[in-house]
Amino acid sequence: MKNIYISEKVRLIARDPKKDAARMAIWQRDTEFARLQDSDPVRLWNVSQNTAWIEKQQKSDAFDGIEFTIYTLDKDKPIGFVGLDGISWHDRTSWVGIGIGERDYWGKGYGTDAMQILAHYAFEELGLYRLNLNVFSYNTRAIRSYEKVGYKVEGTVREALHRDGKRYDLIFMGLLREDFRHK
Amino acid sequence: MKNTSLFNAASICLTAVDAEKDAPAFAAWTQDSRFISFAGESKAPHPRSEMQTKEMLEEILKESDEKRNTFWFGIRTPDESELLGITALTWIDWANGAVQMDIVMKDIEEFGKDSAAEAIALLQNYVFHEIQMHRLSISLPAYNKNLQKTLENLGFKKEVRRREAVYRFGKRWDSIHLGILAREWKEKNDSRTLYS
Repeated sequence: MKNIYISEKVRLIARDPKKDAARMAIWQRDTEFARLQDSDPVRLWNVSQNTAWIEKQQKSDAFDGIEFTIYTLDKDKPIGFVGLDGISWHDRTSWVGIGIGERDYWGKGYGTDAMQILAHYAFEELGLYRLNLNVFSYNTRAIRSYEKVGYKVEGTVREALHRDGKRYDLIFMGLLREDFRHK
Repeated sequence: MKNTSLFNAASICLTAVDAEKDAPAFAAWTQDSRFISFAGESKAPHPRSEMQTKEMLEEILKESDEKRNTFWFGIRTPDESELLGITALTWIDWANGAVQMDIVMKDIEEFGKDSAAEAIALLQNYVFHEIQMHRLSISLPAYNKNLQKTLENLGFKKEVRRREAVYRFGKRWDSIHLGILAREWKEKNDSRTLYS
């Protein structure tokens, strides 16, 4: 048996409340990154706020989510994070989120590799049946990456985002266990 | 002024939710295994005691007070003697002008009645004319056919179908997301303004 947290380009490690908090504070200052990440207004958090955020997630009694830090295999460099949140055990579903904070690693397959590991973990370790995510219509790079993993577009929430005076859609995508296994 | 209230319709009115007073009715609804709870509810379906229900409602109202982005309403008969359901704007995304709503009714049939339709129509009016938002969304499990029909009659359009996202009644069901934009609602309801 192999360690499923290691793939071809990256490995996933449990987030570290101290080390990751400082990196997050740097990535949050990249507005383009922040606007790909969240529909909430872009804002800034200090290192101890970020530490508290990660600690709160990790101390939660209910196992309803988990976040990993993505490390490259070649240079052992932390480049982003990926995780599950809102796991519903009776529905056997979860929501998925990912962010690659290091711009040099955009569009090169690192995120796709991390998403492969996460889907494998969700289906083969946690016994989940389906994964959900949503992505902004202007994030075409991410949409292509999710499609490579096997996610399918399941619909469009029209004009759900308002940025720079323009309206953008929110795209919903889903991955079923069977689709992932037969990929 | 044609009408002085955002909260009254022909067969129902919207009022504040009162955790103490509303717990017995809501708890009673959950004793029927067919009861359809809030679509946004993350917990597995289960009957609730009055104590659990009161705590759940208190939690909801506390969050509503703190975050100022969720508003809750009790759906009652016009004389306010009976609670028929609870509806809410569960997430007002002020920056994007996008609102998410949710609704429970006392039983499956009630989702298809005027009470549900009028409550949702009042929320639409509230969202587009009172807080001036751009769009309103709702998601529901595909087995709630009565609610889907009510929503489509009120101008909601299907936007997303999350395949097999919900487990209930021994099988998997799609989750359907519907939405309506301010301009779509205004085309349908141009005459319904409070001030003329």
